Amino acid sequence: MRWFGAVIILGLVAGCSGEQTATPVADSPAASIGPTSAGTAPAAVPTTTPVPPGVLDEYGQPVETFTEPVWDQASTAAVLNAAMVAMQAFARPDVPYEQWWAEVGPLLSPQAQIDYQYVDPVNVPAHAVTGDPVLVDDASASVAGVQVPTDVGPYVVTLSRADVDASWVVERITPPAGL
Amino acid sequence: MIVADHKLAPLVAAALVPLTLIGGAMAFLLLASSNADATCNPQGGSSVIVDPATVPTGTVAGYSGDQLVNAAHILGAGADLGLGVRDQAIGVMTAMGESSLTVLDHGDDAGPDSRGLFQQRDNGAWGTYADRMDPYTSATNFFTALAAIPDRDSQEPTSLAHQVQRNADPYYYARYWDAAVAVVDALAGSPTGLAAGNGSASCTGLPGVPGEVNPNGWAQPAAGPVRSGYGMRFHPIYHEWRMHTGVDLAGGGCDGPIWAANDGTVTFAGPKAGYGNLIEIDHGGGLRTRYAHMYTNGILVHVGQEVAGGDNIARVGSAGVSTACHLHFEVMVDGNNIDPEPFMIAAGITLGQ
Repeated sequence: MRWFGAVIILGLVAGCSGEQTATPVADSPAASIGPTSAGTAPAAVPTTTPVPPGVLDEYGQPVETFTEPVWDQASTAAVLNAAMVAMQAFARPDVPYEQWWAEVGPLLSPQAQIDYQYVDPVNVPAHAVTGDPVLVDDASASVAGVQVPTDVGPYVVTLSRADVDASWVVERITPPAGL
Repeated sequence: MIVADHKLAPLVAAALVPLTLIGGAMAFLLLASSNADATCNPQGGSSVIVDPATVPTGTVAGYSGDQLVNAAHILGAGADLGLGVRDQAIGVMTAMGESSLTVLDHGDDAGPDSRGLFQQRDNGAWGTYADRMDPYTSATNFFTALAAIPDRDSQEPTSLAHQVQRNADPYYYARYWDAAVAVVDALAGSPTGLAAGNGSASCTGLPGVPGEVNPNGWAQPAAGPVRSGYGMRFHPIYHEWRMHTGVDLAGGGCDGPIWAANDGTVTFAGPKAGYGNLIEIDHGGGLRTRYAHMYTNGILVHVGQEVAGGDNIARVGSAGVSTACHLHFEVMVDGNNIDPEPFMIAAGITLGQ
């Protein structure tokens, strides 16, 4: 990956144990970032030294730090279940709007609640989930694309989580191509 | 002190008098509106008027013949209601998504009773069968519903179309926006001020500006110069050290392009205290970049979207606690802020240049 070299430098300074930590710091910028970066070695090596607790940012908020989430068994199980629950609630064209929205809305992110409030469920082409959900986009551990099979083809439910401890919320429910 | 939005000047003055005493190490603080003025849409709001008998003979964005005649009827219905070209293009976009600009005498599985250019249903809201099958009348009924939506110039074209159509996917129509702009411009005979790429953006008059990407995939997050660097500063009023967690870039001023620093997944895009609005991109391996102070209508990406380095993800704004329009750019590694300048230099990008 193209940014990997820079991350390795940082990882070394921070004392992380990456797989390439044997590479000397002084040699790594040109070698690992790529052929064109020769001569652009960092003037100062950045550090990840944490800001002391209690320090405020310029807005008066505590400086934010977080634990980088990872895909573990619990995360995967939780996101697959959340996608399944959302699709089962969404794919009900026979349910009146008020009941449908009362059950779908709370599963959505704030932005998705704004965007999906005008959906008339009678226009939803899917009637049922017909199989198991599959994680198809795990490029970020904060965001997931989950494919859920339905009677009209596979939907993709996009979900996000604010941090490692937060619940998954639905960002988008994308129908199969052509629907 | 620069006031980004003159209409807010009294509010700002009343709320922030004590803060005007702050200078030097800390930037002036300024509350800004959550939305810029609606100047990012075509000016004047005048309608495009086209004679259906004189549409182009060729193909425009894949549409030709009767399809273009139907588009001209849609434009005419919008013009007769006094609607501007932005609304007219939303009508064309919607009919492209519903019927490919063809008067369909059938519906679909979800709506077997849907008919015409806009696939209007037989539920009493859209007139008689003849009304729904008539290009001009069906478009008039579409536009009448569209015009009843308040504050529509600050909403995205696809969302507006969706609010009228009540279809199952609020983002469905965005894919037809570029073709709609091409057809409207071709029928008008000259550019109307609408820009492609804005089906999911409330600012429909501003074209996207791609950034330059170096051979390793890195891009400047915005134009320079650097206005303020990373690090601790002593606050002259509060007499305590405060952390500037990123780098401030001038970014070309209000509405200047903000570019993704590299490939990644958008993990956050929306309001956040202090930042006004924030976009966060996860590049993998514990690396994230963050972009702040855009107005709501300057956010051009959504959570879950895959972006590439140099993509125009946002427009420079002054939302939140901000010194007029600028980009606040952060780099986070394993959940901690680091100084973006040396990090980006290591990636071949000197911020501000």
